[in-house]
This record gives sequence, structure tokens and C-alpha cells, in this order.
Amino acid sequence: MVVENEVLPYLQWLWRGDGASFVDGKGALVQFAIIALTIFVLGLVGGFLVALVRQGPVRAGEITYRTLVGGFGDLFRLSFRRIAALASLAIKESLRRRVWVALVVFAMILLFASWYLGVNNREPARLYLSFVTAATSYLMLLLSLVLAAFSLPTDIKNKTLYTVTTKPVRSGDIVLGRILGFTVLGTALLAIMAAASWFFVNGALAHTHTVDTRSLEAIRGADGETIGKEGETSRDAFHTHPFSVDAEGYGFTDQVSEHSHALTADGDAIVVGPAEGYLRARVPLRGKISFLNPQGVPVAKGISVGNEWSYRSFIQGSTQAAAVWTFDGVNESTLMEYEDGSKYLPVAAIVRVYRSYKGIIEQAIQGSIQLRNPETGVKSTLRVFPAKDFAIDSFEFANEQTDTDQNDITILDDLVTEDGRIEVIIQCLDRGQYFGFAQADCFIRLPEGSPLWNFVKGFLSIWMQMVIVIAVAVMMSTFLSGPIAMVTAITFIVLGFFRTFFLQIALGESYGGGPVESLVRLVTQMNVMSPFERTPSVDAMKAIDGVLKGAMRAVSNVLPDFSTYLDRVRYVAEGFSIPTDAVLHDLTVSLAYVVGMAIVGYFCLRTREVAKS
Amino acid sequence: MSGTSPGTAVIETRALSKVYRDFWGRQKVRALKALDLEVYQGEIFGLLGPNGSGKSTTIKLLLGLLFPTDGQALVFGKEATDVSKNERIGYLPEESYLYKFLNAEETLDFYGRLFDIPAEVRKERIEKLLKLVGIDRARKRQLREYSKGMTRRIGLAQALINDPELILLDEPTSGLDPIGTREMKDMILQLRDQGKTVVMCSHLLADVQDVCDRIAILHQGELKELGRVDSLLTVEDVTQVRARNLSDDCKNELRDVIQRHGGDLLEMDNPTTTLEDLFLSIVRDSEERPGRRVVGPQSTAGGDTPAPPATAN
Amino acid sequence: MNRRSSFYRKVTYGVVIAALLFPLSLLSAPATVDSKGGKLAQLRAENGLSQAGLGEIDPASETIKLATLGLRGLAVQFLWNNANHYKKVEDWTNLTATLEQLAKLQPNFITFWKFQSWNLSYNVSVEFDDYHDRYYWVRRGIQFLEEGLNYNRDNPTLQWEHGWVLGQKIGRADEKVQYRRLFKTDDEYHPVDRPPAERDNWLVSKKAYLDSVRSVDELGKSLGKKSPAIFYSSAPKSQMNYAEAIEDEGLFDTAVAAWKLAGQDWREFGNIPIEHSTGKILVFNDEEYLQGEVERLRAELEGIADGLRAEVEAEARAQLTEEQKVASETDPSKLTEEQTEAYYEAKQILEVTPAKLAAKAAELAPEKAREAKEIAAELMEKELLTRYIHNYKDTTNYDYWALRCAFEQSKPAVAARSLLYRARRQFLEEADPVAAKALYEEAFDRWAEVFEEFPKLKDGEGTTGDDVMVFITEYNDVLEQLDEEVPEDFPLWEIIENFDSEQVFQLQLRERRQRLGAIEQEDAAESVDPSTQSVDPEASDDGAEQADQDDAAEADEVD
Repeated sequence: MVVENEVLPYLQWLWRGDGASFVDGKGALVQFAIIALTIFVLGLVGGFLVALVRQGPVRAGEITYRTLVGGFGDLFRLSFRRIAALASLAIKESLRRRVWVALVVFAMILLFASWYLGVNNREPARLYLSFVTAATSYLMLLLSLVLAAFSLPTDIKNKTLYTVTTKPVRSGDIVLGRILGFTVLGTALLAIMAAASWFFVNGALAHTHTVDTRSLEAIRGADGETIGKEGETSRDAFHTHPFSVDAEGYGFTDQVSEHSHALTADGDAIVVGPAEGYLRARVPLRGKISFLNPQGVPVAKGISVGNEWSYRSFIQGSTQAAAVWTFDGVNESTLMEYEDGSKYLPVAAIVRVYRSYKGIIEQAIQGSIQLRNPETGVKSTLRVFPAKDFAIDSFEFANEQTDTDQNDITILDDLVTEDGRIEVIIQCLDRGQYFGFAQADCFIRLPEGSPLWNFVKGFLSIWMQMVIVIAVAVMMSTFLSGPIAMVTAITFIVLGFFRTFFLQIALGESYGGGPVESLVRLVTQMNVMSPFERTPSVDAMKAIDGVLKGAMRAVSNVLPDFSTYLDRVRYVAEGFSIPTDAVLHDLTVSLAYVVGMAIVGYFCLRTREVAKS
Repeated sequence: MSGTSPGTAVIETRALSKVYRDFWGRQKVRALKALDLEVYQGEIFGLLGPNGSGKSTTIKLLLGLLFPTDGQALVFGKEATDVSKNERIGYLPEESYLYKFLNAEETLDFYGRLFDIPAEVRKERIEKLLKLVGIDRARKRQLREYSKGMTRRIGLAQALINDPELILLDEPTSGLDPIGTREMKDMILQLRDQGKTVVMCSHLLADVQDVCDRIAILHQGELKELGRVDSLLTVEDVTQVRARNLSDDCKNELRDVIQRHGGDLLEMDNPTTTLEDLFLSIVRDSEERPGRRVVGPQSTAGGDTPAPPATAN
Repeated sequence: MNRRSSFYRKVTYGVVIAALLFPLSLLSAPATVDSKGGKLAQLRAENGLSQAGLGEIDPASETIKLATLGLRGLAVQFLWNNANHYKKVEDWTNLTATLEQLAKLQPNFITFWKFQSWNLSYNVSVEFDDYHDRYYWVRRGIQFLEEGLNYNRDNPTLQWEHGWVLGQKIGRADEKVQYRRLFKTDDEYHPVDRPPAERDNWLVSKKAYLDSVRSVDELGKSLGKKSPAIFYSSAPKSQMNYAEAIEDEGLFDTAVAAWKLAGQDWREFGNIPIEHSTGKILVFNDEEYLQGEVERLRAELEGIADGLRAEVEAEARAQLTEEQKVASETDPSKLTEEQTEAYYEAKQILEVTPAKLAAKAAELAPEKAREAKEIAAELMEKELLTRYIHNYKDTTNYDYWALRCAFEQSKPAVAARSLLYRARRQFLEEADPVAAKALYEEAFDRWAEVFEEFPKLKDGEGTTGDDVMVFITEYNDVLEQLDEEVPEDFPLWEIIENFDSEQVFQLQLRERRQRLGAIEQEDAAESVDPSTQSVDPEASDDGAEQADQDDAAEADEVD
């Protein structure tokens, strides 16, 4: 699968990020602190200014001081019983507002989806999983948004909040109660949707074939005796499987559309079992990639073949160019065991082929793969393979190998260093043809995880998105009216999905300039590349853009990056286990949002005159 | 009720003012102008005034639902915006601002939890209150199905859930039938008898007259009248004669006597003037000469009536 | 009183509403089986505005459109962006899913189908290395187009596009051998009732083209911006491509029949009235007749008065300035730059136009002035038509293809092709260069016969010369293996001289010329004028490029 953003180990992310140490300030903790401090100062100054305009300097100072002291004092007077009461109220209220309709909608979506998804796709599992996760997350986000954004404003409008605030309820109780209530409710709904999705996906993918007896042909051994049969299954769900079975009639079909079937004998007939292998949770041990140029000199990147997408870079065939992955932490337990007890190193690789000329169309480009000890430089013999474009190819290296001088070596003793490092080298053998690689394209397969658990982890990322949305919407609703709160929260979320683009504009890296400039270009139908002539109005435009870009940069710091969550869900769809580090990372970020939003919401609600209509 | 001894001020406002502003901070309405008020432990205090006179604003300021523009509102000696005072307060909102999707039991339980009352105590109180306000039979019905009267009752019950020392009642009898009104009044008196302080605001004069010890009359955000109900309603230049077993002759004789002394016989058989007359006269007067404070000589007549008039400042 | 007036008001409203409803009901009555409906319904039908008239109405599509709550444009924009993104990051599964969603949102947007099916067939397919995968995506693109045709029944643009992809993408790609093989055996694609013999991409393509012709001719749909000459020639061209393809595959008997049919189709195409961009109706096969007419009329006009033509010419010559005179008498290739203008001016003045003839005739024989004028008008009209037809025929290379159909059916041509086929197999599969050489030589003798019978084939206009050149190059490979050179008595030296665009034979040609003692001509012959070479764009048709399809299409049809 494509991994464009590397997942850092959790503690590293928290402590130093991609910087060298804590002091570099790239760690998440530092970022959190900076954001918290910024918001605190902004809130303080902003609040003071508002009070200043309304009440004059002396009173403004007093109000600010009291809000600050009283506010932080009250933060510690939260009561769980009150929060629980308010949370259960939020749940009851939502149930009254018929949230279960969302389940009906979801059921409808699933019902009709099967009409249009079809299995006529080469990666049906991926399509189905992408679909259910997308449907669930959009539905849940919308639902939690509506619930959370309208709840508090409705309470204020109906004045039911008056009664509540005349009880010894802290604003924090109200905000947290809402967040908690909607989260509990959302969790329940999400759990139901997840369960439904799981059964839906499994049900939709389930199919079996029959064996087309006419296609059966005997496989004969060297002496002409029948050692098995081969044939093809019937066409069901838009595909057939070629297969071969042993003399008794047992075996497996070939992998087609990402799955295969077990074959068992029933008398003379061969029975095809259910589809297996649609849902996977591959656990890769990932390495670091480096390249050698055609002269064999290490370089950071390979050659570009002119793709717009620079994810992969390419190595030239029949030269010394190579892609080299260095894996860490390889030891005896990394190796898998064959049935006969011998061990092997399971390496998986995706090779993207780029042909600079067509060559022989029906023949795959040849590549080679070998293992090397990064310290001693001992290499295993070259293993040649035909490149399967786009597909994950498996290479099993038996522990017993021979090196390039035909000496017997073993992987564990000779190819892995003391500290557990080993290199995998892939080269292209055909002259003038190219192989393309990215870091994630080669990995050592660790034992696969449970697909169900991975599915749960995928829904956990949806859950985290939901929690953030709830927290944001509740926060917005403490000072905005319902519809406005919703629109603002939607804006926040949409920007969150397009955070990268937003940041690009803020940093002036996108074509067409800042907001005002792009508006001008849009209205005057001006090309994004053509420069403006310098006039005072253009200068003014740029100055305004400068200010806006600064504001956008600031906003982008608190924007949740929803695309990360989408990325996590993609792991599930593509059959890879979501790394634990990623889950922890996301949980921490979500927690930070909940805490941050709750505190901001608390102060907003506290400083708000509830009864002012 | 144990915290404060009788005679101490439970509520105190000092030059309390409220100005409503629009979004841009421009002044819209001066809802309350420099109100000075004290409410004492154990009394039933009535806030009286026509719609828009500022009585609701006063209550909201006292509850901390609004923040004062100027001046101070102290409840139990604390700022009204301090949430902790709410522990000792019960509030019956004007319309019952309760969650319609809860039933009576759930409602009381919910508000009980907000006071952090432990489960057993909560249960006990709920039982007691449901019986007290007489909706025991409808305890499982959702509030949306309640009649206006029942809603008031459950409203009162929730106001009492924490056994408060100070009870603020906003229009407690509105929408109630005569019997309901009577019962509500009885309950209010009963609460006073338990030593609780009650502040109620109403525009139903008869209710106020019946139950309140002291009243304040507000009009256009200004305090117009403050004092004991009995002394306020005593019309000094009017003598009321009540007697029994008078013959017609005697009555005629009395008329003659009055006439002889230059008096005017107003009425022979009806009792005192009503609060309504007083109220209307104040309102009329206030509208004729806005801003002028009407302070009748009788207003300070009461023994323990406090409060120098607001204009004294 | 008040109540009464309100009652009257209501009555008035009622009357007004009824009055407005009446014309509305007349205007908007729906069409039924036995009536054409109201004016609106008629207009709708006339302009093909109703959705029901476009094709299948999909409840899902309608639901999804409604579900966007009027933000369809925004949703579409978002999805197009996504589609582009998925294409960029090579996420084909999501790309197709997104296209399906888009299809539901804008099912009647023709460009969408055209563009995205092209994307799948041409751009996505080439990303894969295995030709099976490539074929799979080519077919996905075709099926996508077919889905579009369900929503847009009888849309000539899409139908033509369908024919194009089926024909050109499968039949002309570098992988055409594999694609055609896979297409023939693709049970998933072909309807069950399509007999195996018809599971040829060119035949299916021809059918699609014929569908689009039917939509235009019978249903009166608009061709859009497509040139009618190319539009109508597509189906017969597919038939020829079919014949050509099966010849390559060694099916000569079928091929002869196919060429015969192609010849018929082509002649019929020549009889189709085609609208010129000026609005004139052209019929290709009329050219010969028109030329005769032009000659006849000219003779008639010139014969109206004695020495009419000479008179006109003399008069024109007298008009020339000195400079023009000099220029007109110079060899055009030796004109200086200033003279060029004068030369063309002179030519214009010297041209004997029907108008000039008629004017002169009126002078010489006033009694025949009217007649002369009439003849001149007719002559001009016919000259113009002839010129238009000639130009249009050029775009489709009409004459060459007609000739091609004819000669491919001839015995020597079939024999030559069959011999070549055998020769090639002999060399490539049996590795027997000697036998191959013999077969090649026999084949070239047949080819020589063909060229003798159809001498026009030697003109640079068709592709036959290039075709044969391919064979000669193969033959040369065989010879090279035998350490030989093209012999002196090789019958097709002329072809080599004219068509060796790759200049494989440069050296051999020079040696031959030396042998022939034609050294003095070396300068002139050394470089074959490249403008006479037709470079065949179809040969390199493997469009990762996102070139405008129509341009490509037209470029293809021109040769």
C-alpha cells in the first residue's frame, strides 16, 4: 500500500517528532504547549479588550481577573455526578430527536449499496471496506455535528438551560456533559454500524464456485502417472479461478481478485470452499529505503520517469542502480517456519514497472532480489523474478542460503548483523527498462493480525473523528446559535479535510496567491501563473493577503488533520494492520482536542449571559 | 435556614443596573436602574410590576443568569454570579423551563443529581416532593403531557429538590385555576413557616396581596414603592367602619355625624382599598411624570421596614 | 359587507387561476400514443430535451442527484477532483468507484463519458505492465462508454466514440495481437448471442459506427462538430481494417469476402449525400460525372463564338504589366521573392474563367449573351462542386481506399499476401531462411503483378507502398541472415526508391544507382522528398497522451 506519511514511534512523536531531540521543538508535546499558550493569551487579551470596550479599563481588569481566577478555580469543582446527569440528559434528548433514524439511513445505504458496488472489481474487499467506512464516517460526522451543534443553543432558546444554570452546575459540567453524552451515544451508534458493516462486507464478498468438470485435466508426473488434476472453476461473481489439486482432490485455487478457495474432495467431485483471504491485516516490518545510481553510488532518490506523482522513484535496468532497504530488529523470531520446521525470511515487495520501450509484450520484465549484511557486505545469491506490476509479490528466503561465492551461509548468522539489521537489494535486469519503488514497497512480513481487530481499529479512527467533531461543535455552540455553530463546525471540519491545501495557501506555496488574489484572478479570469503589474491596489491586495495568510497559518495550527484518519481507514481497506503507534498518536490528538475544546467551551459559556436573548 | 438568623439580609442589591445592548454594544434598553433592595430571612417578598418593568431582569440578575451592568447583586453575601450560591437556592421559572421529554420522576432525579445529592437522599426527597405538590399519580408521565397547573407543580417540586433556604418564584400562580392558586399560596406560606425565604414576582396582585409580607413595585426599571403590604394598603385619610348589628337608624345617624364633621361617607359596607388601586395609581402617576419617585408617607410606616428610598442616594 | 368583499375576491382569484390554467393545460399536455401533446411536449420532443428521450432513467441516479440538495455542481466538482487525484496516485479501485458516482450525478453529460472512458481505456490501461491487465482496463473503458450509452440512447457522439475505441484501441495498439485475441475470447464482454465469428473488434466497432449513423440518419440527431465525411467513412473503414487484420492473421478466404464487402460499403459511402461546410450537398461518386459535365459545358461555352477563348487570352495578356509578364514566363521554381506575387497576379489575370468567357461572348455575339451567361453560371457551379468533392475525398483518401478494396480482392494480391504470410512463418517460426527467401521472392513477383494491374498504387498517397516496404524490410532481414543483398532483378526497386522512409536501403540504393550509371542523378535522388511520405499516425497509436481525440481521429482518417 501507499504510505505517504510515515508513522513515527509514539514516544518519539510525543517527545521529539522528526527533530533530533526535545529541544528542537518538533515533538507533539511542545506543539500542544505552544497551541495551548497561544489560545490562552489570545483568549485573555481578547476577553480583556471586549470588556474594555464595554465596561472601561478598571472594570475590564476586574472582570478579566475574576474570570481567570474563578474560572480556573471552578475547573476543579467539576462533579462527575453532574456531568453524568447532563450526559444522560444529552442522550435522552438525542433519542427524543430520533437519532436512530441514522441507523435506518445507514441500513438503507447498505441495502442499496449492494446494487451499485458490484463485485465486478479487481479489489472488491477494498472497494467494500472503503465504502462502508466512508459511509459510516460521513454519516456519523454529520449526525454528531447536528446533535452537538444544536443541543446547547436549543436549550438556551427553550430556556431550559435557565433552570439548569440556577443549580450549582459549572459551565464545565455542561460542556463536558454534552461532549460525554454525545460521545456515548455516538459510540453506541457507531458500534452498531460497525457490526452491520462487518456482516455486510463479509456477506457481500461471500461466494463460492463449482468446478467445471469439462475443464479438468490430469496432471501427469514424470512417469506418466496421475499426480493431480488441474482445471478452472465456474464463473461466479465475475471471475473464475484456475486451480490444481492433488491426487486425492485437495488443494487451493489460484488467487484471483485477492482471494482464493480451498478445494476438497467429495467422492469423485471436487467441492469449492468459501472465499478466503479477502480481509487481511498484514503486519509489515518496514525498513528504510536508499538508492544506488546507475554507477552504484548511493543517492537519496532514483530517477524520475516524469510522473506527476513523485511518490516512487525509479532505478534503471541492467546497471548498478538498485533500491536498498535496511531493516531493523530482525532476529530469530522474525523468521517464519515451514511445516517441516525449517525457517525462512518472508519478504514482500511491490514493483512498479516502467517500460521505456515496449519490448516483448507478453514477457514480464526481470528483476533480481538479494539479501545483504550491511556490515560485512556478504550477499546471498541473486534471485531472479518476473516483475508483477502493482501486486504484492512474496519472496521467501530460506534460512540456509549460499553467498555470491557459493559458500553456504545462513540468514541469521551471516546476513543479519549483531544488532539485527539486514538489507534487501532489488535491481532491474532488463536494459532500458525501469523499476519504481517507494519506502513502503518492500517489507518483511510479520505474522498477520486479526482482520476483525483491524476492522475495529479502523472504526476506532472514525470514532476519534466523531469525538473531535463533537468537541468542536459543542465548543462552537457555547457562543453561537445552532445553525451558525453547525456551519462554523462544518467549515472547521472541511478545512480539516483539506488542511494540507489550506496550509499551502497560508504558506504561499499554492498557485494563484492568497485568498484575495485568487478571488481577483477568479473574477477577472486571470491565469494563475501570470504576474500582476505593480499598482497601489495590487500592493494593497497583497498586504491584505499577507494578513489573511498569517491568520490562516494560525488557524491551521488548531485545525484537526482529518486526512490522517482517512489514511488510517485506508490501511483497513488495503488489508494492512493499522500500526499501534498510529492508534496511540491519534488517540492522543483526539484527547487533546477534547480537553482543549472543553476548556475553551467552558470559558465561553461561563462568560456568556445565558438569559440574554 | 440555619445559616442565617431571622432579620439578616438574604438578598442585597446595591445600585443594581442592567442595560441591554445589541451586538455592537450599543445601548438598547435600560432594563433596571440603580435598584437597591434587601430581602430578609424568613419573609415572603413580592416583586410587582407590569410587563417589562424589570422584575424578571432582577430575578435573573439575582440568579446569575444575567450579569449586572453596574452595581452589585449579593445573595447570601456572595456575588450572584458565583455558582456555589445555587446550592442554597430554589428557583421556579416563569414558564416551567423543564425538559419536556422527561417524566416527573426523571426530572426531579436529574435536578437532584445536579445538586450532587446522593442517590438515597434523592429518592427520599423525590417521593416527598411528588406527594407535596400532588403529582404523585402522574409521576411516570412525560412533562409534555402535563397541564399548565401540573407543570407549575413539578416546577415547584424541582425548585425544592435541594431543600433550599431561598426560593425564587417567577409568576408562581400563572395559569393555575382558583383551587390551584389557593394551594400554591398555601404552599408558599407553608414554606415561609418552615423558615425559608421566598421571593416571588407576579403581576397578579391578589396573590401578592394574599401571601407577601413585603412588596416592591417596579415600573420601567425603577423602584416605585417598597414596604409592608399591610401598611402600604392602609389608606390613612380613609376611615373604615365595620360594625355588627347596626340598625338602619344607627346607620343614618352615623351618616349624619360624618356629614356634620365635614367628612365624606365613601362606603358603608365594603372593606379596604385593594392593591390593585394602589398599583394602578402608581403606574398612572409614573407614566405621567416619568422618573419621579412616588414615595407616599405610608411607605416607611412599617416597623421593621428598611430601605431608604432609592432617591435618597 | 366585509365578508362579502372577501368572498368576491376569492371568486376572482379562482377565476383568474382557472383562466391561467386553461392555456397552461393546452400548452403542457403530455404526449400520448395518439397525440403529440401540448406545445411544450412537442418542443421538448423536437429538441430532445426530455430525459426519457435521452435514455434510461435510473432511480438511483435521480435519488443521488436529489440527495445533493441542489449542490450537484459542487459535488461533481469535488468528485472530478477526486477522480483526478486517484488517477494521479494510481488508485484505480477508487478511481472507478468515483467515476461510477459521477456517472450517477451527471449521466447526461456527454463529455464526461467521452473523457473518462478515454481515461480508462487509454491512460489507465498503459499504467499496467501485464497486457492482460491492460486489456482489462481497455475493456473497462469500453464498458463505461456502454454504460453512458444506456443513459444517452442514440447519442451519435458516444456511439461513434464507442466504435473508435473498439476499433482503434484494440486493433491498432502495440498490443493489438494480444488485445484482439483476448477480445475474441472475452465471454464476459460479448453478449451470449454474438456468434464467435462476429467477436472481432473491428466488426463490433463497425456496428457501433453504424449505430451512430442510424442515429443521425433515421433519428435526426445532430452530428455535433464532427466532419460528416469522416463520420460516414468510419464504418466502411472498420470493415477494411477488419479485412486487413484477418489477412495478417492468415484468414485469406474470409479476408477476400471482407474486402468485397468493404468495397461495397465504400461505394455506398460514396453515394451518401454529404453536407459541405458551405451547405452544398456533395456526393463523392458524382465526381467523374461532374468532371465530364464541366468539360462539356466549357466546350459549349467556348463554342458560342469563334475564337472566344483566344480572344479572352489575348486580352488578358494585354493587361499584364511588364513585371507580371516577366514573372509569368519564368519557371515557377526560379522565381525571386518579389516575383512570386507578380507571378500569381499574372496567373489570376491569365486564367480563363467562365465569367470572362461569358462577358466576351456577349461582346462578340450579343444575341447569345443570355445563353452564354446561363452556361457560364452552370459551369461555375459545377466547377465549384467538383472542387469541393475533390477536397473532401482527399480528407478520407477516398480514391485510394476504393482502389485498395479492388486490388485486395485480385488474385495476385491474395496470392502475394498468402505467400508473405507463409514466408514470415517460415522465417520466424520454422527458422528456415532459405525457404522463406523463396516464398518472399515469389510473393514479390505477385506484388509486381499487382502494381502492374493497379499502377496508381505506386503513388505516394496510399499506405500500400509502406505496407509492402515492411515486407521488403523483412525480406531484407532474411537476406541479411543469408549474407545476401537485394538482387538486381528484384521487381520492386521502384517501391524501395519511393517508400524507404526509414532509409534502411540507403546504401543498397546508392550502390544500385552506381551500377546503373546514374551517378549524375545522385543529388536529386539522394534524399527522398519527405513530403511525399505519408507518416502513418496509427502505427504509433498508443495514447498515453491526452491528445484531443477528435484531432487524432481526423489525423488518422486522412491518410
